[in-house]
Amino acid sequence: MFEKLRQLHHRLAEGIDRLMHGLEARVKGAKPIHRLDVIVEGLRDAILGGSDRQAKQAPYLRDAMGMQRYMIMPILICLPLLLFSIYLYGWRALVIVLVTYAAGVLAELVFVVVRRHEITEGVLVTCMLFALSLPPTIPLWMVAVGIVFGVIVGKEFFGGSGHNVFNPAIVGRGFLLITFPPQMTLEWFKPLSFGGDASWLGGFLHYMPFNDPATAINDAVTTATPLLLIKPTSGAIETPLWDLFWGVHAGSLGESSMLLLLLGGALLLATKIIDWRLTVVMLGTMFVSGEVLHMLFPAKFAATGLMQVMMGGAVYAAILNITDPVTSPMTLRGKWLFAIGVGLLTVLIRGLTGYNEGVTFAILLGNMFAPLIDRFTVPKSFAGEAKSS
Amino acid sequence: MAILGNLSTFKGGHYFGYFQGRATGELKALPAPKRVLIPLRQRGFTRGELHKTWAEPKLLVSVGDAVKVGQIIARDDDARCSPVHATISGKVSAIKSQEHPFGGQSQTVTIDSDGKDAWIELTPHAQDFAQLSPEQIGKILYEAGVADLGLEGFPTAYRSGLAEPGKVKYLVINAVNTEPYVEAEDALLYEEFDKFATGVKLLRSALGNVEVHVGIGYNKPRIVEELQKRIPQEWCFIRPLLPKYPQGEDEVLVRTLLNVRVPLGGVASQVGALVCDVQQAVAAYEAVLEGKPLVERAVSLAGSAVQGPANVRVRIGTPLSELIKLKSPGTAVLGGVMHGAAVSDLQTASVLRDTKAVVALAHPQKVLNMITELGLRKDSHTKVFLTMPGLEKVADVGLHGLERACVRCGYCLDVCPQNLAPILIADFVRGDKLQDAKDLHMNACIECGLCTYVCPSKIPVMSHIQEGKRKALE
Repeated sequence: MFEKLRQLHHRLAEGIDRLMHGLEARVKGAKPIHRLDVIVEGLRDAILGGSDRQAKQAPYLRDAMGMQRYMIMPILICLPLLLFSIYLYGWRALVIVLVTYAAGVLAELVFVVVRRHEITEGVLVTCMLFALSLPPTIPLWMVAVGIVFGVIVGKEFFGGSGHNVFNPAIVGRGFLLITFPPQMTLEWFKPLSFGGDASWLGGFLHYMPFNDPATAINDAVTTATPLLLIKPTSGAIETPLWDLFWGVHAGSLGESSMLLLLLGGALLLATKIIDWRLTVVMLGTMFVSGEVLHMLFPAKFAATGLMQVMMGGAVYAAILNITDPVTSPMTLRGKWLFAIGVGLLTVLIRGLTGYNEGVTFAILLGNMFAPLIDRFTVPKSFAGEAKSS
Repeated sequence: MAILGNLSTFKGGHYFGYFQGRATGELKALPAPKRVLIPLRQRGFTRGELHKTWAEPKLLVSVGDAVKVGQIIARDDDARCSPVHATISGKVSAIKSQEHPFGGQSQTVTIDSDGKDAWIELTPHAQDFAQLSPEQIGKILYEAGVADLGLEGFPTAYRSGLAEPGKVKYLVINAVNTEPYVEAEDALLYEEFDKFATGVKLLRSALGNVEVHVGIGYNKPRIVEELQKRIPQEWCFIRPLLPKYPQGEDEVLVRTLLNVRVPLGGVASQVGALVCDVQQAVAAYEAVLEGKPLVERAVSLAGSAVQGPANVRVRIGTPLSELIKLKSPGTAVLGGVMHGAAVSDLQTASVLRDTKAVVALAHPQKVLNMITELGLRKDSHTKVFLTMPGLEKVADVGLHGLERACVRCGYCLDVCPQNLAPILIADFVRGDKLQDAKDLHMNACIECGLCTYVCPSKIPVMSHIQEGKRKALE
């Protein structure tokens, strides 16, 4: 029975492979669309995952994990975050994600066809991480502008996946943050689950927390995020820690629930997709430096160390953004340096600048130094001193 | 003999476990083949800057000559190579230059069997090796061709002054096989335990009564017990090792057992350690106490595409076509899967002196959506598959993914047993910046292949580094 199913599976795969090859040949032959063959090729690769490719040099045995599996893992842990954001803010959260994917993948495809390089799966992660870092009130056209900027300027200008210096999702977010500060920092929805009228299904029954979509976004300043509240100018109000932990407070789509983030992060750590050094060291640095600065300059740094870690996108970024392999160092010592730097910068930016969230700029600054850090923290080999002979 | 401490191991590496189609059970002696192909070219040393050339001994026979088993057919006492013996009796039917599996052209002697399997006269050199001087033992081992089984052939190095008798401080026995499918020497260890134990004593006395360190897989308590009984405790130290690849490589083994680092671009004998494997100890016993030259060795015939995997004792030079039959389309690899060479024609490739295994891996099948597979039998450095510890894993020659640009995940740094940054070195080599690559200790690479194995972007990292080393020598 099982064997039969497997045979069927292989035959199906063979059939699809032949079909796609045929399609590719057709596309190549047709004059106006012949340059789209790379898309067909990419589609075939996406379905078959390179499962028929063979190792041509030693070692002939290769790790069972490929880039597709590597890239699907962060997306996988983002799905609960997405569900929870729908619960908090209604189906508009899903629409934001879909718009991101449509615009981001389109931008990638245009570049693939023009530059004639292969489609890479990295863009799927970029889109998901970008969408979940946006405030729920953001106008949809801004979403599209942001992701297109992130994919093109953040990644394709550098030569595509693997060659980029900056994390493309963060580049997109940073671009929106600088260009449209009010929409990115001041306008927030109050989550549906603490409204008295919401049923236990919360946002699953709504498109967005307001019934009148026409006015909702224009004057949506209905609440403030924990990060805004704790600014000395707002009166330094601390959000209860348990609210922060469960995630029932205003904030960006994916960053709310510590619980889901920590569970997802644990999965990524256990599967060795991310390295604990980046995540733990960044959060640890934020905790320690936040605590110290709070004691020394309580007027500037109203939040304690624990609040620094729990508020805003710190945990989200520590698990999903700074662990982006391409833009973080790969040596062990380099990872420590990088994580300490990003954590410290986040706390400083939050306290000393006009921006209430500092993670975005801290990561962009850190990204710039990653290649340099790598170069200077190459591990010392176990070979002994060379003997002259 | 003292068992020192708990399991010793090293930083990096990868534990493979067992794969489907592995060879189990006792060592079977195969009958002499009808024809053998013996390449003269000897791989000898391939690492580092010290050893630039391959050696090819001078031929002593010509086409049409009749030869007996054990007869020396080529030798060159001035070059760094061992004599080559005929491994079946019969007639030399051809001597031609053909491609060596590990690169380059080699004179290859073809012998057709006469079916008699007649040996040269075997005369034991001594009843007791204690009567022989170290120089005499060295000469016997050289004549018997007991060399080049591992990377540092014992008498070869001995003769050429690389490892002078006075400078050797340790004899290291490598009895830990960690490469997938390479298990013939474990079987040999059980089969020929007496010869092994005596062989170790013999090698020790030839080296001037040095300390002996035995690295052995922790899963062989019976052998450890036996060794304790037979070998005096004062000079033999046994260390159970975690069977993590590449524990058996000289540099890693010497570092784990002796806590001594092999110099950059050098070999273990430079720090006074001589590394021998099980086959070498057994062959040394046979050479000295039975007068038998090295004409056969233990080989694992295994792999997912091999019909009836087995550990066998075969004549050196046996064509692979006589050894393995493929049950499905596959790639045959001479040597282990990690640093062996793929063989396109089973007729012309044959078992070499240092061939520990002949592996054939099945070709991969096309599958849909590899990304959501559970992967109960998959092997990966990461833990993204639900690999069941009790199950034998599947193996094929598939890349298991698409070739991509490096995403700097750092897995190759994790697994590198020499603590290098393999992908940075490979990048420098690709950019033709050899000096930068050397500055990152390119020559410390032991070519274990793990960096290529773990790469999710399927970049042949090791091949780039090998290319860099080759270019640096020119």
